[in-house]
Amino acid sequence: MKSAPRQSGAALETMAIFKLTSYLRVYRKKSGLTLREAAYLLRISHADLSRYETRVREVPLPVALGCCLLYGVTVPQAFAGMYDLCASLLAHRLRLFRNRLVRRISKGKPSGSLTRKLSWVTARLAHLSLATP
Amino acid sequence: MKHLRLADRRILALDLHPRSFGYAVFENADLLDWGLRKWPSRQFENTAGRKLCRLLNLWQPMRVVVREGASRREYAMVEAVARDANVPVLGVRRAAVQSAFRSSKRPSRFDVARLVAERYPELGLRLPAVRKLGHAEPFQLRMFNAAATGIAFLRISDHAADGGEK
Repeated sequence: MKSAPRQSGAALETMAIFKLTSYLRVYRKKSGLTLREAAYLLRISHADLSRYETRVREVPLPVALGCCLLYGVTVPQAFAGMYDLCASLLAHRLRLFRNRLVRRISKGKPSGSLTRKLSWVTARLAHLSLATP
Repeated sequence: MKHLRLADRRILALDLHPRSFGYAVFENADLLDWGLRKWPSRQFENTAGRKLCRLLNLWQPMRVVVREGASRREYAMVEAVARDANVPVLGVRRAAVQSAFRSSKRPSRFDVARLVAERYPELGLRLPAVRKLGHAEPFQLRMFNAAATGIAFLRISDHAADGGEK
């Protein structure tokens, strides 16, 4: 086994990994609640809560929102990886849609609704790039 | 995938013992998870590996950091499980862990545990009382040892990274 002081630390830090899809377990443990206590507060069984925390099952929307309210965190904090993934996919589709709108406007006579849509899509894209670093 | 945020580093720190281990998971300087896992002595091969495997699957660390001093059997188990999960294993010397918490005198394990609990107040609830003469070492101290190992590793890699930049 290698020893850390002998390793080049700079080389170790060149790698980076993505955020986890869910941080429910982290925030529950930081709040000091046990699994059973949190499950009682959320009105679900502790076995189900354990499955949601360990990503064995997908978290239902009422439970996800309940957890955020209970631990006092936002959805992007509690589901950082999932939020980033959704933002990334949505930004990709918005870019495709914007290109399509631009093509339609450049081909024919630009209507008011098309230009309004284009400005809305551009604003959403800018918002998404600001919302996620 | 421009929008995917990167967690610079996520590590799983372990303090290995013959029938148990303490663990702490860090993401950058944030403590994500901590705890203890134990198993009956005859079920080492199956149970210990399975418990570690679950932790690796759950937290997907980029490094497993082990406090040196455990027996070869536990090291071998960690290395085998980590190899299957494609995660490198690194050892941190006890001296390195102690020097990360040293002020003037050489700190005891209880001093280190107290300093860890000061840095991460969420661990304070599980801080064991100082051992009295003739009493066994508190089981929960392993968790603090693991957290101290993680902190020491992060400090070592930060220093090395700073040196590399200069």
